[in-house]
Amino acid sequence: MRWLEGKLGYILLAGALVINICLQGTGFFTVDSIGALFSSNLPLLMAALAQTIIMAAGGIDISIGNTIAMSNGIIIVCLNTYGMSFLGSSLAAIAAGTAIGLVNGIVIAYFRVPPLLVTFAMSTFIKGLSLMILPKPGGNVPAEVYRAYGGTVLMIPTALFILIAVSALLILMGKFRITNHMTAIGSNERNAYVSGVRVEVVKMTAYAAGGLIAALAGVCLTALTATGDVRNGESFALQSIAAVIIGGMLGSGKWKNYILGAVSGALFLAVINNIVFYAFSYISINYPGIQISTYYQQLLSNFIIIFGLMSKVLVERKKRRRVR
Amino acid sequence: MSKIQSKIRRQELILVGITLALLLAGCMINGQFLRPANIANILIMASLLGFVASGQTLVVLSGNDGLDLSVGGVMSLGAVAAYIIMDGSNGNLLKAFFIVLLVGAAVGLFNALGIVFAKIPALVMTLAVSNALTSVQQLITGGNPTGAPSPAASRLATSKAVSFLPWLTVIWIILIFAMYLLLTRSTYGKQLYAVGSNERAAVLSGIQSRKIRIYTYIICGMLSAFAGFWLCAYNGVIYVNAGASYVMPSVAAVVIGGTSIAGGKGSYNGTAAGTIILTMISSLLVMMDTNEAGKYMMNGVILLVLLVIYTRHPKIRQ
Repeated sequence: MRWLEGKLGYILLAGALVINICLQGTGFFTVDSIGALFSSNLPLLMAALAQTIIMAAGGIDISIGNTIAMSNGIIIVCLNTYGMSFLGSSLAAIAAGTAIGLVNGIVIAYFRVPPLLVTFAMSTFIKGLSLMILPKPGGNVPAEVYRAYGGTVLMIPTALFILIAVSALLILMGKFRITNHMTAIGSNERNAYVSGVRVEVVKMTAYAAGGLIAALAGVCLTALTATGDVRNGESFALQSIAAVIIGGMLGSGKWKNYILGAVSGALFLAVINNIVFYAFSYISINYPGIQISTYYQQLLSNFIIIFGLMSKVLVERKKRRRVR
Repeated sequence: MSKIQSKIRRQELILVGITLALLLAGCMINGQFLRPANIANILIMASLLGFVASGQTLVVLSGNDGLDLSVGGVMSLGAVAAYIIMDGSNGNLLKAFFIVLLVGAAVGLFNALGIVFAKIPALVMTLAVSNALTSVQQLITGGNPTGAPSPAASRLATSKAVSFLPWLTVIWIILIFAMYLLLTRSTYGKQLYAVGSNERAAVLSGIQSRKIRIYTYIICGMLSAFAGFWLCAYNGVIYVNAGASYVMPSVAAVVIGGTSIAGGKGSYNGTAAGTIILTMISSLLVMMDTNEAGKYMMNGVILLVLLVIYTRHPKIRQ
């Protein structure tokens, strides 16, 4: 199954889409349905994009979830307490997210501490910080914002439009030298260093960029939920990592593949949630006697994620078992 | 060799120094800090964390970016299982204890399958499993566990041998000794260090590294479930995900205890010291009356500083 290698994310996504369309019928192809799919999952897609940049540079960031939550909190406080405009508060949140990423990057690159532990510690710190910013859930955003977010631009759902714009921008970034350096570090840090890549600076940039996009995901989350709750975003950390791995492009060494892989992986997770939802509502409509607790839904989608992660084994080149 | 030994000794000195400094700080903030009741309290908290951190130590020692973030989930599941099975009767005590251990082992095996055979990064696999365990608990209990720990278990968990030494800590001391024997005197321990420090060399010298790593995750699952059993006995009331708050401290305790996150270097004694330090810090934060937000921030900053002191990699050009 060698030809499958590196295309796993697309195949999983295609399979999931087919099942989804079977369950949902032709209703899937309406603008509303696609718009809902993208608008409710745009924060996850953005989180996966943030994570893939960091993972392309050989790192990992588990503080992304809390950065998203903090960005949500900052926007709500700026809007409601300080009376700033939505754009202004979004910029404030993005600045804060970039700052968090920069701190992560400095500690990881210059103090050479393992990224997993640093971002673990940072996520606790950020959680405290966001609780201080917004102690209680609440607040609201102007109606124009969430209406525009749920609406369409030129017949395309706004969320899909944002996604395409951001990923196209990121893919174009592949022309720059710094992204080449990132993937070089991700492939082999030592070789990159020996070839003259300034490892510290590049790593720091990757984390700062990740923080920036995570904050952007927080903006999308705020437009989606139209309220503030700093405990909202935490689960994005795992989901974004899972999305990047399911996307199956790690180690490919090509910038474009990292971006596309992350998007397909995150879309896979989104469609899985859709499928589980429609499957359960199908059962409860057609067999009214059966009561299924919603906990089964969560359990099922959790297990599908685990098996999605494991599916990598199926297409991996069978290596002779020997010592590397 | 002597250089390494002196480095280890220096690390132990730092740990003792930090502990003494914390004790002193505690006395200065509040005269009540050194009362036997408070010390007993700290020791109980440290024991529970120590049980969890013991499994974590083994997993981190096994190298290959080994890390188990499902310890909290396993602990909660163990606590919920113990709570339901014991149901307030002493007759069910042993049954509950063994079922809880079995559950822990099963989850550990599942983790190992994903990590060793499917080659999913340990961090991702265990995080995903821990999410799944949350839904499992909700499913079993309907979101609201009913039951009770058996009276004998909860008496053992809450009473004290001496005024400042709870029985739970006596169990912990036995565990520390057992872990010491396991890591230094058993074949498994030697092979674990070998796999952790250089898997290739270990395989070449005839160690079945996959087997060792699978055993490690199973043992870690069992120890976390063991911690869950005592959490249930000590707390008396259990809710879904009661053990979630132990995940991060268990990793921190291992790192502060001087175990290399790259594997193959470290000991459980260090982790035990790290556990006591972490518990003292959180006890101090409680005494200083900080709110929830402040507590998180302080925890994060302290951990970050400790990480910068302890876990720096050598420079890339070395």
